[in-house]
Amino acid sequence: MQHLFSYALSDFLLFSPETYFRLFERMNEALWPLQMLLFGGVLLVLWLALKQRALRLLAVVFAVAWLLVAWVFFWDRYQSINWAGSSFAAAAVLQALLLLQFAVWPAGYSQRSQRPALLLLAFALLIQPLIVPLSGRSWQGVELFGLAPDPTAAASVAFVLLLSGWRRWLVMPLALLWCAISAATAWAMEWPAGLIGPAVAVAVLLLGVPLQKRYRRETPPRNEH
Amino acid sequence: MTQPKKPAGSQTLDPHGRLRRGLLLGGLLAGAGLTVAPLRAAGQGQSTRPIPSSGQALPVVGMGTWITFNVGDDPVLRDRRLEVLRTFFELGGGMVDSSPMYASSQSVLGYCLERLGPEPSLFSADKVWTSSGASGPEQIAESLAAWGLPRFDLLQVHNLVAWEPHLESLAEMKANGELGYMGITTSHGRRHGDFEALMQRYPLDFVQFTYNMVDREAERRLLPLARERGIAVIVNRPYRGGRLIDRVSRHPLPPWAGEIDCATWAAFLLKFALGDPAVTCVIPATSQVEHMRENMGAGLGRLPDAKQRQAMLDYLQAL
Repeated sequence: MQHLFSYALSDFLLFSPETYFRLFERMNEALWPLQMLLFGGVLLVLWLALKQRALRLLAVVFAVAWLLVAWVFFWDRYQSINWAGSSFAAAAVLQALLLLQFAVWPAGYSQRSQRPALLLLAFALLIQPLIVPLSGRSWQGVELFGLAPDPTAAASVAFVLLLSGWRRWLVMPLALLWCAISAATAWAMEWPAGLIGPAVAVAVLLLGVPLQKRYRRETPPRNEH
Repeated sequence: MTQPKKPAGSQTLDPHGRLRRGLLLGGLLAGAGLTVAPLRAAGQGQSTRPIPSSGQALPVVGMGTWITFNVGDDPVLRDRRLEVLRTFFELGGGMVDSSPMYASSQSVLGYCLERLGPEPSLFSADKVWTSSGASGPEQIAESLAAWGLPRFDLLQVHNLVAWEPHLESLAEMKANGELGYMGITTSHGRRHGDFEALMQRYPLDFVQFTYNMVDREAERRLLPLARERGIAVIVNRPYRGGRLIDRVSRHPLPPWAGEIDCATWAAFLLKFALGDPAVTCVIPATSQVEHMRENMGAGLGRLPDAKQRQAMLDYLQAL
C-alpha cells in the first residue's frame, strides 16, 4: 500500500492527451449527424427539467444518454486504450438502470434546488461542450451530453438536485465517481480546462444540497403520500 | 544456467552483417569476464553490448512503448507510430519492450511489425503481468498473438507480480526453447530489496529498473549486483517519464558535450545511463520520429567515463 502512495497521478495514465482527445474526434466523425439530433434532445431535456410532471420522461432521457455513453464511448472507443474501459461501460449501464427506476417509481420534484439544478444542467448541456474548442482542442472533439461521459455525469448531478427522496442518492455515486476520474485524468494530462466540468458539478452539488435540506415545502412524490 | 537457444528474430545475422562483429567480440569479452565497453554495430554505427548470459550483441538504445504506442485502433496514430518504429530500425535499433499492462501497445506493435515486414534486428521484449500464476501462459499466448510473433526473445515478470509461479513458467519455456531469455522488472525505484533478493536467487538473464540522472538508487546495489552476477540491465524511465528532459531542454548543453558526442539533451541523458558499464540498454519511449532520431543519437560516438559522468551530474545540479 505504501508503494501505491509513492506513485504520481501521471504514473497511472495509460495514454497520451493526443490519443484521448482523438477518441472524441473520431467518435463524433463516425456518428455525424447524430449530434444534430442530440442537440434537439438537449433542448428537450432543458424543457422537461422545468416541468414538475415530466420527471419520469426526463429519467428515461438520462437513462438513454448513459446507455449511449456506455456503448459509443466506453465500449466502442475508450476500451481500446484502457483495459478498464469495459468496466466503465458496465458502470454506465448500471447508472442507466438506476435512472430508469425514476421512470417506474417517480420521485418528487425539489423546488428549492431547482435553480442551481437548472443552472448546472444548462452548463452541462450548453457550456461544457464549448470548453473543448475554447481550450485549444479541435471542434471535432467536442464532448456532448449523451455521447461523452463528462457532460452526462455533470447533467446527472443536476438531475439528482431536481429530485427529492432518498432514492435520488443512488444515482449520485457513479456520476461523482466519473467526475473524479475525469478530473484525475485531466490533471494527469496537464489539461486544466478538463477540471472545470467536474469542479462546477461538485460546487453546485455542495450549494444545492443544503438548499434542499432547508426547504420545508417539497413537492411530495405523486404516488408516495 | 541454461544457455538460451538463439531467439527468433535474433540480430546475430543481420542481412547487412551489422551486428555480427558485436556478437563475436562481445561474446569473447563477456566469456572472459571483462568489463564490456560498447561495441560498434557495423551498419548504422550504433553501439552494442553483449547480453552476459549468451554474448549476443544488443544495440544499446532500445525502445519502450508505455503510453506512446497505446493509440487503440486510431488509424492515423497507428501509422505515425509505424514511422517511429521504422525510424528506430533504420537507425539500428533492436530491443522493443512492451507489456500487457500497456493496453493496446502490443497490438499496435503487431500492426507496425506486420507492415514493416520481417525485421532481423528486432529483439522482442515483453512481460507477463497477472496476479494468477496459472493464467500466465494464456496471457503470454495473447501477447504473442498481439505482436504477431511465434515467440519472444525476452519475457519479464512485470513489477514482480506473482513472480514465483511466473519465473517457473518462464524457466520452463526457456528450457523448451520457447523463449530466449527471462527476467524481472520494477520501476520508480520500488521494491529494490525484493528485486535484489531475486537477482541473487534466480538465474536471470535480464533485469529492468529505473535509472536516470536523478533516480540513482540503482547505483547502490542493483547495478553492481547485475555486473557481479552477469545479468543484463535494461534501464526504463531514462527521462523520468519525460519530466527530466522537459526540465533541461530550455538550458544549453555544456560546452564540453561534444567530448562525449552529445548533440542533444536526449543523447546527454541517455549516455549518462549508458556510461555505467553494467547497463546493457536503455529504452526511452517516444511518439515522434524526430525524438526517435535524437534517442538513437545516444548509441553513436563516445560514452562518458566516471569522471565525465560526475561532471554531467554537477552540470545538471547547477541548472
